[in-house]
Amino acid sequence: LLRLVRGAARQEPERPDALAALARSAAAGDRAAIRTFLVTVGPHLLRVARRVLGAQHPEVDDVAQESAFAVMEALPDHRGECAVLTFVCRIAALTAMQVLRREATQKRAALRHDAFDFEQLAGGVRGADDELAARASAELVRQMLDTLPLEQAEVLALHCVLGFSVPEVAEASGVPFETVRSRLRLAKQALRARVLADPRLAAAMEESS
Amino acid sequence: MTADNDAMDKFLQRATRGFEADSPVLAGDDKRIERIERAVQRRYGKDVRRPALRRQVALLAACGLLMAGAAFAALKWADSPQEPPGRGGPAPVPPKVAPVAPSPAAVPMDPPALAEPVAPAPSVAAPATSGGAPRPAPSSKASAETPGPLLHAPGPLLTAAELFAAASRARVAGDATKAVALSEQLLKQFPSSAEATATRLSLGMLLLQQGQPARALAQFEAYERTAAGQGRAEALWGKAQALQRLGRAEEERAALRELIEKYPQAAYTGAAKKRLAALP
Repeated sequence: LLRLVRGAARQEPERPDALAALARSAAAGDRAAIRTFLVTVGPHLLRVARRVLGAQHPEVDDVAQESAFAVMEALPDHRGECAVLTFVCRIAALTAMQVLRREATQKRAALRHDAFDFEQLAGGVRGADDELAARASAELVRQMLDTLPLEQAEVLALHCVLGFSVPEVAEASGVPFETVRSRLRLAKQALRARVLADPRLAAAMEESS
Repeated sequence: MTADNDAMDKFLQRATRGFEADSPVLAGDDKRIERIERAVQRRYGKDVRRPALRRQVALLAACGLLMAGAAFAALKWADSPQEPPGRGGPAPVPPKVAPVAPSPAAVPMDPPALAEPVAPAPSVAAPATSGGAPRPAPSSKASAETPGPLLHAPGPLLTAAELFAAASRARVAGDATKAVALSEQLLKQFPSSAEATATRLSLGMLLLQQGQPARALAQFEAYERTAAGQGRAEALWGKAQALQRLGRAEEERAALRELIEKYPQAAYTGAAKKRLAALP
């Protein structure tokens, strides 16, 4: 365990965070710093919102703006536990997940889940349209973000949706490395159960392996 | 069970490709970011520098008044032996102010310097830009450090933040030449600023697109030396691409391996593995 933790620490040597000073000035309300900071992180806010919600989701812009507000609120508490950009992406992911969960509560088992086209997934796996299958798989993971416990959903989002490594997730979330691994394992188990519960998804997963 | 895990991992890899395909950079993103910035400025922006600037101006004005008052008193004292004031006499003629030389401290009070909202007066030593990068005073020394004419300069000189924002806007708008020029200007004027570090990545990518791999490589390597976080994966990928175009296969291989080992989940890792496999 110690080796793992030390390995995680060694993976990213101590380097100055390029955004740290800028983030401090932005947190202090410096208008020029806020502008530069948002020009820098703005594309990431949009990217995260699109990844979590889907590019066509009508609330992408609103979520990006809400994320920017949330980042500004949280910046004074950032103590350099992780890179500023990682911090920002995590906040954006959590903000977008709130929207997903709010939607899921409002129309649970209604339009959005029924609209999911499982045929795209199965058809794509057979090679007709790989990109379509990839998007359908992504949509299924998004659905899981609605239903998993928040901690597992967060780890799944940061690791699978945003592509953070496990050590990066641990740094960003402020939880131990092993806890992240455990949550990720549980999230994958839940996802697998969800896939296996549907014969078409199960067949698609079998074909993909 | 292992086979199930493998199947699930492959399923998630495919989903990751779906997420990547679902997060495109769209044409109006720069406008979206500007809207977000305006909203954030309205809620969180403070006039951090203006109070300090106002205090400086008030101080300078007070100094000017004191100097004028002292000059007036001196003139009056000098005149007093020739024309002693008599009771009920005519009111004394106000002294001519013109001969009084203006204080050097009053020079920064010229209107253009005050019209720029974020620009400190030239003699003020307060930090001027975000990220700790000092805004150069518009002196002859600063001009000598600025190699070419300023692009898009609305005021006397642009801050690091303004240069960075202008370069980003040009890049998003597809004007690569202007974006490169602004980024290079930022690097020359504010080499140690946070904005300069951040701009190296986009500058490297732009130079790669423009077919200048050697210059691009220098930017990626400089970014690697100074920055941390996820951007380093992008820098490594850019470095590998630059090395590929320069025909330096061994170094390219090393960069790709480093990217795969250090950032296994990065968006570039899949492409890096393919490229590594294709290398002789």
